[in-house]
Amino acid sequence: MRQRWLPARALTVCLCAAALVGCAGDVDNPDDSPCKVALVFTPDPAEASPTAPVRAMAQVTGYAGGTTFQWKVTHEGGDVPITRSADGSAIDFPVLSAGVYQVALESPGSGCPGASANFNVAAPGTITQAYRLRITPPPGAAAVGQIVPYVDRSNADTSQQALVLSPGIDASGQVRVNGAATAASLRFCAPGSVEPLAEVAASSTGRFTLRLEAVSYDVLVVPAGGAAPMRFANWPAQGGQVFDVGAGVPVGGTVRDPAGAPLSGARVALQVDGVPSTVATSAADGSFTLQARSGAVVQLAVTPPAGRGLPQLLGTSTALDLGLPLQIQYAAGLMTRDLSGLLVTQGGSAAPQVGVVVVGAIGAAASAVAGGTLELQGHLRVAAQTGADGRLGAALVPRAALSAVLQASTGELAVHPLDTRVAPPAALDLGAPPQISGVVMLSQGPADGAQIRLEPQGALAQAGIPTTVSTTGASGAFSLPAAHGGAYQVVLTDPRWRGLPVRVAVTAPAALGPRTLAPRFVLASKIVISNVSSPVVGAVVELLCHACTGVERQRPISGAVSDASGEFLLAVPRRGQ
Amino acid sequence: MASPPSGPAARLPGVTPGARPVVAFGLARGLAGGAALGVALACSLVSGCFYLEPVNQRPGIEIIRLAPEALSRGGTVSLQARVLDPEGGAVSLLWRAHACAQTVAECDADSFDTRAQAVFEVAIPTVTLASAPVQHLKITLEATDERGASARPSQELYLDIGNEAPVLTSPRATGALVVGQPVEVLVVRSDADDAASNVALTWTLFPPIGGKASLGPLSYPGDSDREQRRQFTPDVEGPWSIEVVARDPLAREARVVWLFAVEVDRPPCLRALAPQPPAAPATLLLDSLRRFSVLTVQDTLDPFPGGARPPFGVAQFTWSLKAPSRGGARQVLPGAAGNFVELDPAGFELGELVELRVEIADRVARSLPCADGAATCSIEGTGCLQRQTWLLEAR
Repeated sequence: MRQRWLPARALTVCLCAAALVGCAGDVDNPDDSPCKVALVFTPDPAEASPTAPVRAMAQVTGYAGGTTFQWKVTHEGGDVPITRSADGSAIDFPVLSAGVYQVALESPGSGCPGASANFNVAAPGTITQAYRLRITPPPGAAAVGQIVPYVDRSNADTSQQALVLSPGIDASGQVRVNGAATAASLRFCAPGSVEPLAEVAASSTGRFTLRLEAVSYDVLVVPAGGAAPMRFANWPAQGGQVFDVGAGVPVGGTVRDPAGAPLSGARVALQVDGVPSTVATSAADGSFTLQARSGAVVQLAVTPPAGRGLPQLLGTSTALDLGLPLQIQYAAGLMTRDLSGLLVTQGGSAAPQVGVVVVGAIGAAASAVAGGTLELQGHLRVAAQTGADGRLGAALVPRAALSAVLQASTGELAVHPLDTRVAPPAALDLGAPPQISGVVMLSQGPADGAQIRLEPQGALAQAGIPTTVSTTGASGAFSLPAAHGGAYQVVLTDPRWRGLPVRVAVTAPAALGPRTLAPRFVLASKIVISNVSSPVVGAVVELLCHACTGVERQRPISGAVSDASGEFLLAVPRRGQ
Repeated sequence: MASPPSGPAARLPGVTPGARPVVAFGLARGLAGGAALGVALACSLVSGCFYLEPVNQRPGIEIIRLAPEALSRGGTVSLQARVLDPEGGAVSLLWRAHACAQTVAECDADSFDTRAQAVFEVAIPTVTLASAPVQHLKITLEATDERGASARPSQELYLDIGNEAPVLTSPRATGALVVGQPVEVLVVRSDADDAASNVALTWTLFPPIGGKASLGPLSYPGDSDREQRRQFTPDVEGPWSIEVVARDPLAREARVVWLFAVEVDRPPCLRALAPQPPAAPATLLLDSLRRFSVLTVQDTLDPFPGGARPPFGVAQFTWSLKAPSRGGARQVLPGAAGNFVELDPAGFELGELVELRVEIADRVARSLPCADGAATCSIEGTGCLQRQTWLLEAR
């Protein structure tokens, strides 16, 4: 075997580079050829700079004859000048800008295969940025979805080694409650996480099956019927597992209204250490019993019966002793006011069939006592509708600083402050819908086909108003009706990912003017299945933030779909600009 | 019609071609000074003088063809003169090259190249002076020694010039192969020895039974002579084909056939959803603000994510909600036209069962044939679904 050139340091550098940013690889080398060609680079891609050209070296093994080398280096579609070594087995090339340098080598006449590799050059002064990649294979693919870490070290166009999906295993099992099979839903999360990776329903026989990675999961089992959900930590995915959850621990108590009278029809539920309980409905005497799991952190939620003008309650405590009766008492000072007769108008005329949702937050709306005391916050959402005369019927709401969200059947929206501590106004007007307008731009001009999302905030969000979506034309301009006085996050995105989302907080009406989408670079990679190395076609790849919580953790920054070769191009935020 | 000389050992009058690879086309020798010899002899007979002038003999010449073997218009041919002057003096050479059309009798009277070097590098023209494709070359070589004696006969060489066939790329279509949608087809022609504009293309569209579409002209600013486009709008589904024949001025042809299937526009299909809805009556837990997404829609014309440029569009989404706390009737979520919605359990009552539904459509208006109570729906009764429903339990 002849080894043409292989300084140990260079190989080390290359392997490190490959491990860090996937600099090498993609060597086009058929298995049946005794001749192997590999490329090694020095220095490390992160250290490459205009003052230190990169050296690429051919490593040929399994071929004893003389070889001529034909090199080609391209960057951003153009040829890069190269300087050959005396025997041609190595080249130097300058890296004048960050990004991917594609190096191709042919050795004609030798019978050896060609080789190619991508050399990723980081932007100067780049600080790493962590993301996650969520990969969802298409239905029917012999692979399971994954969320994998991705660390950007280049802040420039980069090529990464293939993302390898596991074919997974058929995990199956049965859910039982005290030995009896039961229908259930199951949620599989990474250990220590509450972010669902997979969900499945067990049939009435309690049986379920799904494909999972052969790793451990935290499994939340939510049985139908009266048993409490239960979490199984670090469950190793396998077949034949039985989840016998038992009924749980009974938790009893009472709910009383502001006057201290029993409150019937209230729904009460707990989450103990993040595991939900069953939902109990209070009886005529205000009593309830639910099933829960024991634990330290207790979150209590109460939904009052409709028509009482009371807010929902929510609070979290570590002081409650669930072995004691849970006494829930609405605050004595929580008085209500009836909004009946309130007129809703539009253009000066009574507006029939207008939905009115009164929302607001009420501090210290109630307390819960079980050993310790928990102060509960109130979240009001009372929905009503105007009649043919444009007036509301009976609609009790607490006396507090609230908001009224009006929504006509034709879609017009308005938000009004509604202070019910004093006499409410005689009328609320829908008014003409205000506009939120602007122009979506790319660095090279207007962004045609950009998407504008109006994400309701504050009272609009509490009222359940959904996100509005629209698309720009060739001019990039948009003008969308909104709720007068409504708060929004305006999210400007490009479905083609020529730029990345920009968020602007506004209160309608608002004229945003030109807004340029955030700059991005491109991550190129492909998706394969580990056992067969075959490409995964039609897989969805989404870039997610690393440290977000809540729903932000689910919201993709960008996305892509793998093509017929399993390859994809994913937009990644370019930082520091 | 006289057949042209066949190369590379082209016919040279009166001589036998030499052996390859160096091909000798003749070496003409003669008593170039025969008349002078007669004068000298007569002089000696008449005057009795015995001085005899040296006899100047004609030079001998031979054309050697160096390369290449196969000649084509636009290419080159290299010829070399081998000269023998009996006196060892200098010999002047004169090469001439004439372009000929279909036969060697149709050569231009004027030469297109004239040289005096020993090696004659001829750039073969594509057309004669009369603009006919060049099919032969006539090469003449004259040699004259220092005393004015010319080689006899002068050398003539006829070379056959081949004709390269035109080349066609496979047709490349832009647009969807869907009934009623215009399709643009592009082919690129080239010919090594003819200008692309001289290569005529003949397009033929073969529709399936019942099809009546025809090809129409199409061009864009910036198209080169090599590119030619046609457009058509298929009117029936089935196997279609397009044949393109390229013919150069000398009738050499190239032919490509593109077979393709045209289908009718089918309803879009929901593909990947997140989370995947379990089959009814199974529920998912809505215990925190959650995002419900359609990740991909499969459709010929309007997929999701959408196509980059027309005629491709993007799938349309309609989201609706059904919850007891919101009146119990299904409500379309106005403005929720994206591929996802986010739901907060705080917007519902504890333990409330909420139906979240998504329905998709493409550019063709179709109504779903399913009852409202059906969690899923397929227009064609297949696994291609246009409706999916998540059943959620708020906690």
